[in-house]
Amino acid sequence: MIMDNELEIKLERIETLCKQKPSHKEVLGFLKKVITAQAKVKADIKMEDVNIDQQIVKMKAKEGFPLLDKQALKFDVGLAKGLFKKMSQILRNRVPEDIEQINQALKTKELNIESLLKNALRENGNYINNVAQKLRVKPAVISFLVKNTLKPFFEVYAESTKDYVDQQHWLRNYCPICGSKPFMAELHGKERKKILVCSVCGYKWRFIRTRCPFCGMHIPQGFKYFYTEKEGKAWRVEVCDNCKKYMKTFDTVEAGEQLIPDIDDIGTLYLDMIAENEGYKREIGSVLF
Amino acid sequence: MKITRRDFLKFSSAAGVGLLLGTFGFDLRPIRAYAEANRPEWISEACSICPYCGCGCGVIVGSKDGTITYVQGDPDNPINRGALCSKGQASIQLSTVDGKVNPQRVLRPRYRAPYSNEWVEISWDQAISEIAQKIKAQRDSDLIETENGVTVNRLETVAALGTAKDTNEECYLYIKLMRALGIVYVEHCARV
Repeated sequence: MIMDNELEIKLERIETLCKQKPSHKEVLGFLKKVITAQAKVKADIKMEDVNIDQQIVKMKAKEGFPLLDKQALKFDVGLAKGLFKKMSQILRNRVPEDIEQINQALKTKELNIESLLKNALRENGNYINNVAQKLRVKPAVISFLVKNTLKPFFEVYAESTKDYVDQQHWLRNYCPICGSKPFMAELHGKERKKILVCSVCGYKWRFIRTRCPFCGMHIPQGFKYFYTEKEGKAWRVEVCDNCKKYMKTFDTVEAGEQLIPDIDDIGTLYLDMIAENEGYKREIGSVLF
Repeated sequence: MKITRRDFLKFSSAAGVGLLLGTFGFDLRPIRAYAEANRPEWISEACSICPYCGCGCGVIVGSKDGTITYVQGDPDNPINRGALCSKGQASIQLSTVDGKVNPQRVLRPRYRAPYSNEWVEISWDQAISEIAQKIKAQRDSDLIETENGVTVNRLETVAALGTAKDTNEECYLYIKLMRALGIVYVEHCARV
């Protein structure tokens, strides 16, 4: 099965990273559980044939609208509930009090998974913060559960609609499929074209090399990045002095291999720490935060 | 911060990666130690234009501590789309050879007096003044003011050669100056 292969490749990558960087072993071990649970659900997601009118596709691309309006995402409620509970189990040892609160709220019907997911899609971060406050749990916990429950559905949607995207002309700083912001970049080919990776659906699209993907500032005379001598030039952290944000960028040619964004992001957490020490902030979280 | 629909699932990134991971009880000390053992090496990149032929290919110039360390084609430049010819690829040597400043690079204007066989370094002010004097002398002696009773103000003994390295605005000023002087032989390096 394709999904099994995909999972095997991911697990193998985690193993490799654990050997290369024992310091990241604990976080990668946790990620392994998350990814395995998501892969199992992803294999069961049946996406109906997506058929979007070409005229609408062209119009949306021209006006800068993504293909999917997030609140219109259709997901199998049964599968989503199962995955939500699985994610709660994975988190149980780490934040037992918060998970207990959530389970209690589910029992008393104070919390409904379906409406939580749908409202989170409709009302974004504010809703999550309000729910967390109401249940007296950390917002990061609700955020983790919602994000990781919905992620496989977004990924399947992106895979089924990727052929509709005009890669040559979509040079915006948000995903052409789901409209989310990127969390990582890759440099491809001898020309080192910059490719952004969507933080939600994982779709990859082309972007301008010397433009900040967050504030959109074009920095032709002062684009800066750093790498670490010990780890080599395969990874660079590009920074913007205008908005003080940074983005981790993977040079596929320098590395001689392809990365798996979600996993390699966690495998390079030390770069986030260096960037924060240098005075820059991360804009978009990863799978775990 | 205003939440927009593109901020989906963007939460407390302002809190910092370490703090958020700490929320889930991860022991971050080994990662912090690893980060401290890896010192950042900063590189600056700037967009420029290859100085050789008339194509005007876009290049990205990387430098470390003020020394150019690499030159590569700009993948977003519509002229070359990231590609560079062998001269363009070697254009780093205009500035740096084997990691050292190119000793043969000309950094200031040079003047060779008539009948002299030696070049003397002069200031920019002196160079500009010298050129201005020569253009004025040439114009004063050769300007054709009228032809067949029509005012033409044409200077045929001076030609101008433009460059692919100029921006639209620079080209506008350049052609305006040439026309004001009456120069009609205006060419561009892409055509010679």
